[in-house]
Order: sequence, then C-alpha cells, then structure tokens
Amino acid sequence: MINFIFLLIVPLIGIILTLLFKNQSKNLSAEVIAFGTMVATAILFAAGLIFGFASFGVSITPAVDFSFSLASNFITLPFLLLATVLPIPILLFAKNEIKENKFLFYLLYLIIYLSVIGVFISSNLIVFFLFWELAVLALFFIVSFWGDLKRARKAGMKFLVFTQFGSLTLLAVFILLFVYTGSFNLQTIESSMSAVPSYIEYTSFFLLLITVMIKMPIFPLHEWLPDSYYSSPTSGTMLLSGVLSKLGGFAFILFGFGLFRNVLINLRIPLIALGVFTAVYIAFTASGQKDLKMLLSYSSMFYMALVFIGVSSGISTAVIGSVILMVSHGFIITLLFGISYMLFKRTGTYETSKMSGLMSRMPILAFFFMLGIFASLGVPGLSNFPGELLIFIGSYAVAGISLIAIFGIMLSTNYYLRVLKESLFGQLQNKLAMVKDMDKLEIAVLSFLSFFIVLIGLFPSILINVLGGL
Amino acid sequence: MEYFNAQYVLFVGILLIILIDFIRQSLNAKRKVFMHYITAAILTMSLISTILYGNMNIHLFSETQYSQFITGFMLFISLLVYLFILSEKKEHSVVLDIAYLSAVLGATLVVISSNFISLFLSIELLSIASYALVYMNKSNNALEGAVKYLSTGIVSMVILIFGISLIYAGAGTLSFSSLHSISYLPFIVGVSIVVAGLGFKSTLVPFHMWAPDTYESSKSSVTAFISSVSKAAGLIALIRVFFFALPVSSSFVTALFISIALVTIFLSAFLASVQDRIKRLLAYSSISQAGFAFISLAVLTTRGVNAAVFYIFAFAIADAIVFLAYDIFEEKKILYKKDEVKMYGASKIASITFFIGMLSLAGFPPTIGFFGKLLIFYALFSSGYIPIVILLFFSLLVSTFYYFNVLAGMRITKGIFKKNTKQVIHKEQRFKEAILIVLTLALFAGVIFA
Repeated sequence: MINFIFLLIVPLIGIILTLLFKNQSKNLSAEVIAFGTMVATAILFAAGLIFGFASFGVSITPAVDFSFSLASNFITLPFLLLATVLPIPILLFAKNEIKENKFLFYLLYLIIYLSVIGVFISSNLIVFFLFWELAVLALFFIVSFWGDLKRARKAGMKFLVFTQFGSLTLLAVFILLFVYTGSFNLQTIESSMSAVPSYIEYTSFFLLLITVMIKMPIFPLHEWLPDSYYSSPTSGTMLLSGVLSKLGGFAFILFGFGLFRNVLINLRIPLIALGVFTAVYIAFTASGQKDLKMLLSYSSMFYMALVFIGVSSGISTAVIGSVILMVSHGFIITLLFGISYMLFKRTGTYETSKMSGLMSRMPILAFFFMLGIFASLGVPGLSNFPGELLIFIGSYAVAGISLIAIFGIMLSTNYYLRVLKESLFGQLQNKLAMVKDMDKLEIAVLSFLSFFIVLIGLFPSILINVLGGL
Repeated sequence: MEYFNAQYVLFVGILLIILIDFIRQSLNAKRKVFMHYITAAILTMSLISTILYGNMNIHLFSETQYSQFITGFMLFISLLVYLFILSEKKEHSVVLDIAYLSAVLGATLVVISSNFISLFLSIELLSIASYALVYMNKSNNALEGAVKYLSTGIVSMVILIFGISLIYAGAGTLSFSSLHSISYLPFIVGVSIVVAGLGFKSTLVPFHMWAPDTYESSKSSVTAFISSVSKAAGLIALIRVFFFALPVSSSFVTALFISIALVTIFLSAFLASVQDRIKRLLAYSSISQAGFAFISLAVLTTRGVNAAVFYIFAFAIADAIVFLAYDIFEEKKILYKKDEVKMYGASKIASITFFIGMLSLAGFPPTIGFFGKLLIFYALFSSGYIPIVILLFFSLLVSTFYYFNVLAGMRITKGIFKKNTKQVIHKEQRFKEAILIVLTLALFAGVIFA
C-alpha cells in the first residue's frame, strides 16, 4: 500500500532540495532536482496503482473537524495520472525555454506540482483550498515574470483577479457547507448533506458555478483566458491548459455532481445550453485566429466547454466521458502547444500563414503535429474519441440541444485542417529552407505524450474501470 | 504576585525612567544608551507578566474574556517595534522612551477599562503619547502630520466625551456592567456619537481623513506602531463598548455598523488602487483592514467578536511587518510604486517578509490573514449575511489587484542570480531583518489561536 502522503512528501523534498542547492549550477541544478522529484512521484503513483493507496489523516483542531486528511474520492485516480505524469514532459519543454532565474522557476514549478496533487487527493476542504490557492499564486508569478515582456504583467494581473474571485466563491461554498453540516471533511459532508436546506444548496451551487466558469473557463467569464494563455511562457500555458484548467472540471464533478446533484439535475437544461453556446461561440472565435498559439488557446477552451456539457447533464455516462476527455485533452494540448513552440523557435512566428511546406523539411514534427490534431478532432483510436462519444451519448439522453455542439466540432475540423494545410503543405519558402527537424529529446518527449494519447484511445476501459464507482 | 501586572510594570517603569533621567542629568552623565535598554527591559517584563499573571483587575478596570490575549500581542508587537526603532544609528532622546511607554500603557489600559471614564482617559493617554511619537521624526512634514493628527484627535475626543455625557444623561451610570439599553433619544444619539469618536481612532470612514497624511509624514517604524497597536486599541474599545457593555442588538445598530464597514472597505480599496506612493497605499490598505474587523463586530454575535479579535491580531501583526519592512526601503529612497523594482536589492530579507506580510493582508493561505478572513466569513454566514459576503469578495478583488501590483513589480527574481552586488549591509540592518523574521514567524505561528 502506498500512502497518499508520500505523493506530497516527495515534491516537498524536491522543493527543499531546490532551496538548499540554489547556488549549485552544475551537478545538481534546479531542473535536475525537479525532474528527479517528479519522476519519483510518478513511479510512486504507478506503484500505488498496482498495490493500492492508503488514506492519511492527522487531526489539527478536533473542535471544528479540521484535519490534514488525504483520501481518494470517486474521480481522484484519473486526475492523479494527469497531475503526476503530465508535468514531466512540460518540464522538458521548459528546459529549453526558460533561460533566466531557473532556480525560482523550478521552485514555483514544483510548488504547482505539489499543490495540484494536493488538490486532487485532499479530503478536507480547508486543505483543498490551501493547495488550490497555492497553485494559483505560483502560476501568477510564472505568467508575470517569464511571460511576454510587454503584456505579461497585465495578463498575469487579469488571471489573478479573475481566479481569485473564483477562489473566494469556492471558499464561500466551503464555509456555507461548514455552517450547515459542521464539518470540513468531505466524507462527513457527503453523509450529512440532508441537513442542508434547499435554498442554501442553490446558493452554494451558484457560487460553485462561478468558480467553475472562471476556472474552466466558460462564457461569459472567459475574458482572462486569451491574454494569459498567450502572454505566458509556453510551459506556463501548458500547465494552465493541461493541468490548471482541469481543477475547475474536477471541482465541478466533485462538488457539483457529487454533493449538489439534485440542483444540478434541476438546472441541467440551462447549463447544457450555456455549454453548447460557449462551444459554438468559441469554435467560431477560434476559426478567426491567425495565430497558432491563440488558436490552440481557444480550442482548449472549446474542449472544456464540452466537458461542461458532459458534467452538467448529470448522468454517469457523460461524467465518465468528461473525465476521459479532460485527461486526454491534457496530453493532447500539451503536445500541440509543444509543437507550436517548436515551430515558433524554428520559423520565428506563430502565424501559420507565414509558414508553408514544412513537411518536406521536418517530417517527424509533421507526423506528431498531425497525430495531435487528429487526436484533437476525435478520430477513433485516439484519446479524445471515447470521451466525446460518451459525453454526447450521455447528454443527448437528457437534452437534445447538446448535439448542437457537434457543429462546433465541425468548425474545429475546419480550422485545424486549415492550420495543417498552411503550415505543412504547399511550397516551401526560401527563408525556411534551413529549418531543422526535431532533436532526440523532443522526439522522446512527444513520443511519451503520444503513447498516452494512443493508450487512452485504444483502451479507454482502463480509465472507465477506475471510474466504476460513479 | 497580585501587583505584577503589565500595567503596573509599565507605570512603574515610566516613573523609573523619569527618575533615572533626572539623576543622570544632575550628575552630568552623557551616556543615554542604557536608558533605552531599560525601556526594552520594561516592555519585556510587562509582556512576561501579562502572559503569567494577566491584567490589572481593580475598580474601573477589569479583565474580560479576550483581554489577556490582546494585551499579550499588543505588548509583543510594541516590544519588537521598539527594538526596531532602537536599532537606528542616531541617538534618541529619553522623551521617546517615555512617550512610547505611555502609548503602550494607554493601549493596554483601553483593553481592560470597564467604565466610560477610564476608557476615555486611556484613549487620551494613548493619543497624546502618539502625537509626540509622530512629531519625533524630524522630517520636513512631520509637523504637518502631527498637527493634523492632533487636531482631528482632539475633535474626536471632544465628540467622544459628548457622546459619553449623553449616555450618562440617559442611563445614569458610566460603568459598563450596569449599563442598560433604554429607548431615550439622547441615549441613542450618544451611542451613535460614541461610534464616531472611537471611529477616529480606528480609522473608519468617514473619520479616516487624518490617517494617510499622518502615516505618510511620520517615520515608518512609528507608523507601524500607530497602525497596529493604536488602531487595535480603538477597535477593541468598540468591541468592549458595543458587545460587552451596551446590549444594543437592535437592527438599527447592525445596519449602521455594516454600512460604515462596507463604505470603509470599498472606499479604501478604491483609493488604495490609485495611489502612487507605496506608503499611502499601505495606509489605505490598513484602513480597509479596520473595516474588515469592524464588519465582523457588526453582526454582534460571539462568533463575530471572536473573529474580530482574531482578525485584529492578524492585521496588526501583518501591518507591523509591512511598515517595518517599508522603513528599510524608505531609507533607500524607495517611495513610489515604480521604484519597487529596487526593493529586492535594498534588502533581501525585508523584501521577502514584506511579500509575506502583503500576502497576509490580501488574505492568501496559509498566512494568518487568510484564517482571519475565514473566521469573518464564517461569522457572517452563520448570521445569514450571504449577500454582504459576496459584496466583500468584490472589494477583495480590488485589494488583490493593488497588493499584487506592488508584489509583481518587486521582481524578486531579478536579483537572485546577480550574486553579491557589493552592498555593505550594516549591522543595524541585520538586526532589523532579524526582527522582521521574528514577526513573520509569529505571523504563521499565530494560526494556532484561530
């Protein structure tokens, strides 16, 4: 049995080591420590999958039932896969990108790593909130310090102010739950939800909805997304879209579907309609983008809107689909952002119309690019397909309007194929004649990501089995 | 050990210092330094005696539920702030010691006073000593700040005593324990006027005008005292009067309190975000902290008062940290928001503690400020003020904005790899930094009181 506390202790050791060896740049540099720490955590997670996990709990103040307790809930494991494994390839991208102040960057990186794992496994709401805030704070500094110089500070501030509002409403939900159930412990709250009056349930649900709509994000609270995704360094964008935006979905499933299921089922039609509107609206917005990074940012939001549709239908099938889609989307969007960064490094631009014919110069990159885009489009056999399928099957059963979102998928096919056509095919420009293909490290990283994409696509049952308790 | 209480120790200490100074002057001795050590020793001794034996308990003054904790943290902060002031290179006059000790004595007396007269006298003692403290910074506009403080302070004292007299007219007594609420018009007017009088001390809007100017013109270490201990005393007096003495749980009082608190919080948040000078920004943020403590008092439940007391502790310690850290920056001429880039270069430890103090003021976990806000929200929720909490969230957003505008500009990152910028760090700065570290540790350790 692997105790959950080890998943937190190992990154903590990494943070301490980073602080201790901050001046050693040769043997034990910050990125080596971060890499080793994360691999060790991932191995621990794998061992835990085989031998099972054990819960952990230390009571801090028994009077208010505030304890540092870690336990798995019904959706922990798939998200834990995302949280432990995904930052490793992102780190390898960051290695090339981050040149200054490495020490602080990897310190913040490990803090995000630790806190995201902490959010997924904590079963006490105060501990949950603590880790949640820590992740936001650390990411704020990554966005505003290492981002695009002109806009990063403004974008970081926008990110912080928006997500801070979401955090506060989440805190309000927790306090309301505490007032009416007398506990911060998730299991205790689950068993005493009947004590919560119905108007409080509705109030809490609306507050939670604000959090989720900011974090995922959903129209009309998505204003911060384009700025912060675009201005932050690519590794920060990967963290934001691959891991951090999943926190919103996680909270929505855990609290919205887990605790306030009655409210969710009563409100499912307007919520699904909101999700559908967001999906189509964002698909249109993304179609108009010329810039690859911006386009990927919007497309990332499109998939989160599908997740929103899935969860708000309140049916297990669709919720399972949402979890699968979130996990697979984490891997796919990381791969795509990675490729966009490589293209930017080699061609000096994010605009796909300025590159063409790169297929002949970089066949391996073209292969991974196509794989990523086809996976994103939901081609059967790749990882988005089972998720999207389950979401549509589940949500169609309760509201036919969810099928309108398929129109959004058609639009995304259109813009994705346009990107492929403009960048890979056509006449090779002279100034791009000398671009190099990917090096070995990059191939290894992308293969690692593709492995998970294909694995989930071929055997979605491994995730579905884990979610059996739903 | 009946008489070994903080207040007695401080009082005897003040007399002792006056006596020793008199003897010293008549002997024509030149050394003044040891006087400061005596002052520090007196403060330490009073802190220890509070922890061991509690407060003074005689006629007009009595111990209540929270008073030991409150005097404890007040003395703790005052001691550290005093050590910080001491570590300056230049010589201090003995008047500073006396004024400082009198201010501390006044603040601790406010906490335990159980009669309107003793409350008024304690606040007066605190205020008069503070005017002197503000003026002791011989900078260009110290006089302006002190005069502004003095004139508003006197007006507020007059208002306070007017309110007290109206209450006496209604109730026929001034003792907190025998007061009872009556529906007699002068009495109700008196209650409102007392709010105004105490509001001056605790910088509630609309009685806050003096605060930014006074804070700015006085020395930052003195500001640290005024904005933490002295303001805490004002808020504690409000708690004492309105929770323990006057049983006025009418909807009128609650509405009045909540509207004052909301106006305080919002106005200060918006004014803070347009400030250019860091110190004025900190001053407005300190005003908004008072608003938060006051809103939690406004619900007039035990939970609310618990939250208010804890929050006063939380913001007092955080305010002391940011103003003391800012004192180090001020010496290096970092005055405007655009200079914040230099902060890290000025002092590493000061900038990190400043950062943590700001996080606590902004209410981010795991600092003490977060737990303070948590308790306040809990108190408001359990009394059913859900819309007010939602309103508070918006003000917190504004405050997040201005705090992080400073923090993001600090660029802690810039300095890290520029090793050894050949800066001579003076011994006194090391000492100051040590004080800041102690305070920051207290910031985290204080969570156990939650």
